[in-house]
Amino acid sequence: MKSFENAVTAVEEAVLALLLAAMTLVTFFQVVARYVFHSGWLAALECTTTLFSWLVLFGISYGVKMGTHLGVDAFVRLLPRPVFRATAVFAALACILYAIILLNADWLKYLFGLETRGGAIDYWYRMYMIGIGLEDLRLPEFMMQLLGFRAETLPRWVAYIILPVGLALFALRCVQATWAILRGRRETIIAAHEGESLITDKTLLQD
Amino acid sequence: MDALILFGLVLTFLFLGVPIAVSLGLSSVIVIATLSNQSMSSIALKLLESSHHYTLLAIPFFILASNFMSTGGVAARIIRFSVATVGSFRGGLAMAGVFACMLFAALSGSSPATVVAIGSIAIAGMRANGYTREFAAGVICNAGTLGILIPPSIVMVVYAAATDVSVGRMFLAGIVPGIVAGLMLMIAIYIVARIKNLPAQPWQGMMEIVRAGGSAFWGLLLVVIILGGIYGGVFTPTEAAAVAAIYAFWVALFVYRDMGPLKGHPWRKDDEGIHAMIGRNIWISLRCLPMTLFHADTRKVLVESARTTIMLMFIIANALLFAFVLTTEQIPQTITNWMLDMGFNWWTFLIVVNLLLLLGGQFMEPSGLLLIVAPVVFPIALKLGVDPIHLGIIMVVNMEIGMITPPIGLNLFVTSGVTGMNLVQVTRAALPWVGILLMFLVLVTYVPGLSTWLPYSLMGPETTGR
Amino acid sequence: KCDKGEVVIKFSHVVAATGNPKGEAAQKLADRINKEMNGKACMEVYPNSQLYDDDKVLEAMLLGDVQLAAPSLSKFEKYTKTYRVFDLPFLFASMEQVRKFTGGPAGQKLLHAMDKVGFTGLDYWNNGLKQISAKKPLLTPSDAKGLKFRVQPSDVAVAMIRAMGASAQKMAFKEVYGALQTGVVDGQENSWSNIYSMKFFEVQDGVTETNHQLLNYLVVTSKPWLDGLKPDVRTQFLKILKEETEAGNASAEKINQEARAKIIAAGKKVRTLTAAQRAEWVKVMKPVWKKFEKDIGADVIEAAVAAGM
Ligand code: NA
Ligand code: NA
Repeated sequence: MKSFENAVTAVEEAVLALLLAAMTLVTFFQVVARYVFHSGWLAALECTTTLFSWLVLFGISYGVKMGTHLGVDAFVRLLPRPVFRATAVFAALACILYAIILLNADWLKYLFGLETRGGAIDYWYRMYMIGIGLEDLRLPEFMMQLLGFRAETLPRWVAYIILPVGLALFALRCVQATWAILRGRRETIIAAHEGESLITDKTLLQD
Repeated sequence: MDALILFGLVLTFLFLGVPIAVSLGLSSVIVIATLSNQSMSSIALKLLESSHHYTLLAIPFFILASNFMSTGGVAARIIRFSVATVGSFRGGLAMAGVFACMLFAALSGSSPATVVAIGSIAIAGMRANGYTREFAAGVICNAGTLGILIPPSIVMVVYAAATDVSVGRMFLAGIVPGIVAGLMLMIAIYIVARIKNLPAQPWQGMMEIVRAGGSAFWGLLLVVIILGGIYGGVFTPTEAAAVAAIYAFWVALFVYRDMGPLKGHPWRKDDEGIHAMIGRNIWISLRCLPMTLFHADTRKVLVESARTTIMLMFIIANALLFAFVLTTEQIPQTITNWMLDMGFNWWTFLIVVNLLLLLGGQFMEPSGLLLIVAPVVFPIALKLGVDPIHLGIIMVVNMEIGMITPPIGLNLFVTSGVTGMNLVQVTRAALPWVGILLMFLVLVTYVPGLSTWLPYSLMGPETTGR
Repeated sequence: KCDKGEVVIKFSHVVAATGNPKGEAAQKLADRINKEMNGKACMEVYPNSQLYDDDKVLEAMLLGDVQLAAPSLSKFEKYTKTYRVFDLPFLFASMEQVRKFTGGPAGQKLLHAMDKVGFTGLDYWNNGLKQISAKKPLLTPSDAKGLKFRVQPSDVAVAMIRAMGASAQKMAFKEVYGALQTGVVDGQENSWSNIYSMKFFEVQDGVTETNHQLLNYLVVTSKPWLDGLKPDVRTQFLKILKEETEAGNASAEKINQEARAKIIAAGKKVRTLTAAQRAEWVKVMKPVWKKFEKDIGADVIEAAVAAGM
């Protein structure tokens, strides 16, 4: 089980590293193409921004697992231990709620009569039904045919699928974190600020 | 009313330990679900839109460049150069720490990254030379905030994204204030050093300055590449960030060789002829080229940078969501009208802005705070005749102060990590120097020319808001 | 803010609320609707991409969260290709021809080209014909050879630039000034009002009055939303829109001519083409028409050409 979890982490990190490297290289070679060769790849911009959204949305669940999402713990740490634990569970549940509402909010209408509808899944599904493509980004002709895409460019639903998937993975990791907090194997859902482990945790070191 | 609910929700979630990003996002989502007829689908659309924002794309690239630079031994070379330059003054090592922070700030877009890169070496050096731990930590913790004032700067990129001003002008605008702030800190150190009789380093001569400068040259060249490239028309600021990342990768792995497959290969072996040296270096560089891309050191930097990007972008995307809700509920217009009715002028208005940002900076992460405050403050500022670039620099300086004040002060966190002091000790050590930055804030607020002179004489006035 | 019971019409666009033909037309439309339809309907205008950019606004409209938008016609490329007719270089020689074409049967039929996707075009809002500029004088297509031009993201515009032997670069509108100034790109093409309001002329060697291409917007709405309106509300709304469209189009022409005059007043050279030079441009661009004829339909192109005779 432990080694499976490690393998998953390794895959996640490889994907993130690859996405970031690809973004950087595409942008860099676009500069070279324009400045040196007076040409360029028209889809470069769209390709990079799409990779960027994949990096961020695929990464947020990984951030929960690694405990890198920043938060304020100064106040909750002043509370008595049981209350502190309760707030930690509350914070984790808030994260789950956030992801679920964004995925689909229809249930709020049925449960509480709120005037709201749709969500990430609905948005993605409509793009899927319309089937329109992105602005410039396309795959080689044979791949487009192989995959059965009728649009001239890569269909938007393919690029946008990371939105519902990313949110769902985020919810899943938050459920795991909630369980870990209840079992006492994890303190909070946010990044810890005290302690000397910080020096090795470069995540906080930016901005 | 809606505004009060929205802000109330955010603060409640924040204090209960909900991640900043989710505090902002969940409050927005709740307000949309209960008080507005917007569909949640369009909120999801907005989340996607902000995660592929072109201007913000510079953020991961600058983070990557900074990580290659700090892992790749540039910091040590910069410190050596700084000590050679200003070390012989009384309190010279502390001044050299500030100078090194200024130089590293010109390579990195981030304040905490500057503290780590310089602090982990400089603080130890100062302690070994008779400075107290508190003094050393306080100086570096403060000087590190220059990371976001001296270009490049992630916070400036975020401000430009929120208000549509040009990133290039913002970068230029930070140079003069950055130098002024650095000088103010150094003068304060000199005065303290006189009173406390702090040590001076021996003068090592001009040759050491040249030698140390030469060894730091390849790192410092990045400044020229970034600014020269943007103003010389080679690339846009976002592209500049990507070029910086590739350049930093090249310097770290192929020039300094402090990491990656070429680590341990000297540029010149003893008794090696010049031809043999050139041939060997070309050969090993070519042979190692494919390996550098997949080497464990490279991957580690990539993963660390990705992690930071994700953490930051998640906050930014949700802050943009929050700003979107403010807009759809027409809250900025309400506040603008109210402030204009109250008879604020630019002078009093900037006091309010500063107080608001200082207060907000206590418990918000800088980019998130900026994205929430900018849509409200920016239109009022334009109406009152405040220059958009000047306003941006004021905001950045406020963010700097927010970084060294608890409970959320990123520089405090990392200084505590670097020194092993706890948060309370670090906060106390940083406190006297916060006074200098507050004085500097007043200066920047009421002397607009400090920020606007350089960008406007080189690039002309900002077009946004004209 | 809108009162309860009123139909909310959100109009999201990407330009400034003042000084831009589209921004001003949107505001005037809102003022009239809020006055004359008070109690029945209410319009909120969101300028400056406050809500969505041009691309996402159409998606948001499909989701039912925006009711009106006016993107430039080239933004509909992914929904229908017939609008490429408006992008064809040197097809429209004057705004008179544009008016005749859009008001005629072919132009009116084009409003319904996206009904199946869920969009209905309501009216055409004109900006004006586009002019070209670069860091050096441009009088014939060959002057542009080897230069880098920022173009609006449309396949036709890219083909046009390539026909000149130049290279087309995509770039966000707000970055263009800086890019022209520093030389990231050498030239641009836009309407007089945009060249003036974005200050592009400041950093270019004059502007050449080519009138080479049309910059037009389509006022678009969601078809299900429009169909769901009460008949009297819909009729009154469309009537006001039509009147404001005419007023707005007339003032757009004025704004463009004023912008042209201001550029000259600012001391910049505005070059006009001789008949021979213009013929040379047309000759180079004709293959571009051919290339997109299948997407547009030969009959539509013919109707546009006929409107100019
Ligand atoms: Na910096
Ligand atoms: Na703070």
